[in-house]
Amino acid sequence: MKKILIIPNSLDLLGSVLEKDVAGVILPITNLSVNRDLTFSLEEIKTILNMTSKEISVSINKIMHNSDLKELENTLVALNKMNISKIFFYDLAVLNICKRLGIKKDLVIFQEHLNTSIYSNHFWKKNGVKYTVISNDITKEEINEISPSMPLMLISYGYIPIFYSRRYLITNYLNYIHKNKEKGHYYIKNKEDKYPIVEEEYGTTIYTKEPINLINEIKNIKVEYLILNSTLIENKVFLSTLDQYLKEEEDNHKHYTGFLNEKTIYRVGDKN
Amino acid sequence: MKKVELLAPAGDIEKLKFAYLYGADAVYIGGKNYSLRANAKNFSNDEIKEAACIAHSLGKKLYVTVNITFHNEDYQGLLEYLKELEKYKVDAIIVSDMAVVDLVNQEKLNLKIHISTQMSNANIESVSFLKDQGVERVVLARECSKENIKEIIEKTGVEIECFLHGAMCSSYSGRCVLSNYFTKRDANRGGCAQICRWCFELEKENQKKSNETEFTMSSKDLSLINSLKEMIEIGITSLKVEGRMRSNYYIATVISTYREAIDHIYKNTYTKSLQEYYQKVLNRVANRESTDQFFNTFPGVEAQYYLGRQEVSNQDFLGIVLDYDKKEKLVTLTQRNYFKPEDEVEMFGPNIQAFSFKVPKIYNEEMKEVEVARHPQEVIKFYLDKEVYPNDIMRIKIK
Repeated sequence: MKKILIIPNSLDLLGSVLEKDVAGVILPITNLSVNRDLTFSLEEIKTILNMTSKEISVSINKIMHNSDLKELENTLVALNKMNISKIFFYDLAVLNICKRLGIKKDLVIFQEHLNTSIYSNHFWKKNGVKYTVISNDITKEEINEISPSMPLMLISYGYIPIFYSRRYLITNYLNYIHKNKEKGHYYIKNKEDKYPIVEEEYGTTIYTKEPINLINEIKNIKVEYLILNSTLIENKVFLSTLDQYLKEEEDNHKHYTGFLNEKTIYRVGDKN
Repeated sequence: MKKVELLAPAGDIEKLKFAYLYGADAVYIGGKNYSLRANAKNFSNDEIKEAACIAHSLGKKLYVTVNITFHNEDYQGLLEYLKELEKYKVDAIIVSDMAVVDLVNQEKLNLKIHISTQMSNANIESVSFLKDQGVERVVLARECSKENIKEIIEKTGVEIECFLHGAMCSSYSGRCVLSNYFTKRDANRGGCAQICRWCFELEKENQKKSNETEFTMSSKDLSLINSLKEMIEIGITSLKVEGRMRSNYYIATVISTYREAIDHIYKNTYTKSLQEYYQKVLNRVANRESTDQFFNTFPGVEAQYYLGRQEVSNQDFLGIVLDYDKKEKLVTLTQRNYFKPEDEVEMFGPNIQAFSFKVPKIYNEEMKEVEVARHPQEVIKFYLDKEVYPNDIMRIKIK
């Protein structure tokens, strides 16, 4: 059975999933993470480490500017002294600081839409990265081809961020039309499809129109870990889906699977 | 002090020649494969070879983009292609996937590597990591402020390239795949369908929040003409103009304007009035508004576009000089947009100082007087006292 990691959207959900047979959780770090419902300080992570024997990993996925580097370095030094399992990262600054300071934690490259070939994974492996969260933009055949070259993880349930800007796109627009931003979830509408758009301190993210769900595909995908991301999903729905994954229970629904069974078009006019 | 490089885009050989002619120190192009403008005409291997010969005969540089995010299947033929580029002595390749860096290092290819802005590098540590991989230059994320850029230059010693002018992604590069999920076209493999310029309804809890001005993510263009001096002073190696799919006129206008401005700065002859004039020229050529985006301050509402694609096509470009008969003082040009006698126009070119004049009587190819030049590509002749040269451009006078 593939191991399951959870990205929690609330402390309630965190408590619930830690009671289940999951391998562990991925906790986004405050100030250094984007596009997640909930982030954690180092103190909060220490508390959680004392509550469970499951894998507690952290995620740092912001694009770093120089002004972030001091906090990033201090955080990595602190994490090195804690019993965390893995550090998921986007920006190469994380890799460079870990190399420079000899930080021993397992590094997981999680670049969303980059790193989509056997060969890029060779490079990261040579440079000390232990796992890759492989992109949802490629097919299962491509994932299975990459699999022997690197231990892989895959988001198998959840909304996928498909756009991330440093700008405050909702606030700017509402300013332009002289309205105020309200609490709650905004969406952009394209024909009948609605895409969640979320503004936070470090910019604006747009997500897929619905959560991808690979429950009916996972037995054919060669990855070590499945990641279930609860961002923007109601706890009740999420926990019921998690139970289905824990039982490896396929269903008859035609779930949204992104590009798992369909290639993106490289050039207009290409048939694939 | 080493002079800053002015780096121009080119979508074909003609544009490449225009870019060099109008003052670019270096030009970047894409091959038929592995380039992020997959739907542009792009250069065949023979054309890349020709482009490298043109560049080197002029003492200039040529960079080739190999900047897609590779899928397994794309790797086929890559090594052979890189060996060809090495053989043509291109001055660098522009790369966004570390697999390519790895291959170049592994095969010990004599190719310099520039890291594309697709990787969104914005800090000292990531640039230092790339330096350790043998990378010569990094094109920084467009989200970098002046202070951030300066610090990276001072602390890493890596050549830094920054965008100077042109269209902007509204996302961090590499983190936008709207095109994939809206049109199935692969944004990180050159298929970007510019979804950020589409208009959308904005909703909250099933209630429409947008009004007749619909929501877009579209950013105004970038123009750093007013910060050019500071860009040079903080030590940026190369200033990049965006737009491999732009016209000859656009390339000629933008490159010649920045060429003149840069040269004035190095000669200490750059004045406020020159800066204002250059800004006017640049504002007109794209027909889109521009701002300095992230360079000086954090961009807010003023850096966004909300009116959709209302820009009208630019009709400033009136013609290209084919010939000048010095004895007869007769200009021969090909028409690109409507003009007629008495119109106020100006000529500019790589070998002349821009000058304005009123269009005198005009004639067709058979020297029969015509009232207006209305047909694109029509050959038009007129008498002009000031000498002009082939490939000089006539445009509407910029006031």
